[in-house]
Amino acid sequence: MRQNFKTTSEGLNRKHVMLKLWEKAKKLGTWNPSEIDLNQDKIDWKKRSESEQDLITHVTTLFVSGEEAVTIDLLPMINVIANEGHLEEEIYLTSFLWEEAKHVDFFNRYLNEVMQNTGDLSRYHSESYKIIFYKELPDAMSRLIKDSSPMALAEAAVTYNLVVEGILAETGYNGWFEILQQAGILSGMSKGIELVQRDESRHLRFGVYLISRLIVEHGDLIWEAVQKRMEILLPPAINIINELFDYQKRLYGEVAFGLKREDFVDYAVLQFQKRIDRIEKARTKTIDEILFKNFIDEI
Amino acid sequence: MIFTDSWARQWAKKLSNNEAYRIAASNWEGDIVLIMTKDSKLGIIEDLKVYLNLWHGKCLCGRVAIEKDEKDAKYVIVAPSREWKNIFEGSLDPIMALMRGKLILKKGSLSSLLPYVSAAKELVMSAIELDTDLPEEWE
Repeated sequence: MRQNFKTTSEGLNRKHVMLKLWEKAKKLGTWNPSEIDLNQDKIDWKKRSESEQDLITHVTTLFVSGEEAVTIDLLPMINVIANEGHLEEEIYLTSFLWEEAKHVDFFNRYLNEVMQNTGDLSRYHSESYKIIFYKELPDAMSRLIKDSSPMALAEAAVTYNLVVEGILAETGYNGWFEILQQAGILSGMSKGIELVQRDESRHLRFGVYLISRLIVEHGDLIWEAVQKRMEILLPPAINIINELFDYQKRLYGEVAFGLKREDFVDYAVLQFQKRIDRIEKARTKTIDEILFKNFIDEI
Repeated sequence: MIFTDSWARQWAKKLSNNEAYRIAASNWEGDIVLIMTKDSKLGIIEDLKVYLNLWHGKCLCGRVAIEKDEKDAKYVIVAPSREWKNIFEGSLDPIMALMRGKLILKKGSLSSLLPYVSAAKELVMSAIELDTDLPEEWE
């Protein structure tokens, strides 16, 4: 039986960083994938060479299936947060899942309307992609259904927020956006990615916040678990980048649009360093500093 | 003492007898120079450098590096004594250390190192098994 209601006993704490993030989500997360103009993209798509079309399809496939995976897998985490009574976090997380669903909506629309794809695209799911998206991510998230321990929650957040969103999605979106801007093509894709990136930056802040809170509440055991989990996931995560480049080189001798492997890897490493350094700092913080002091602003 | 000529030679010998390393690094091609940066406060008056010639799961040669090695080696990794101590005590994962910038990859491609996580662990394990003294002041 429910014991009480937070809103009728103490009320929501509007200084909570998750409610600040919620305010941003209400303002910035309401864009409509159906309203992005894809007419120029349809023209640009037809003018692309075979290798360019293949790379665009490859990248879009990784994006759409990644977004599908995070949409499917998030619910157990929301359930744990809700059961623990972290209402401010749960309120923010309602926007999180809605935004992931919109990302699926956008990329799926792109595949259908611009690329008019009807075939099976799973050929683009490389060995390392399967390690992360077929196994590690669903395993870490579904574990929360039976195990809601702080350790399980931290490991799920490392997998979902730090690796899948913080390294893979952010690196992919950033690199791809830059390429499209330089090439001056696929303006609808660029616009969509810009909006997706803005959503993802909030999701990542949630992840850093959650892991930081768990470290402050439960100590260095969590910090050790975070590092161990990263040790397991970083190699396959970075290898997804390698495999995309290897695929293109194997088929076409070079990578379309002049993409450079090192640019992507360097960006991924830099982003990872920023987040892990910030999380390590949580070890010396108080819970109030994590909940109310904008600890996650500069990531 | 680590980063000496005899230590590097023993490490190379140990590596060549490490079956797990042989398997994990079976596709590896490339020599490495490891550099411990000088720190006069700790009595390290110049950079200490060792060279390992690693080829398909074997260490063909280990010794103190000469100037040419640093120019020719495929990979050059640099760090202060504190980080090397953490590595060779087993408390810091070598790939994580590279990703976090605790070990600096001065030369070579990080993306080509990452598939060799297990090899990197075994590389370090062989060094740890040498049971070398690591000064306490390198904290």
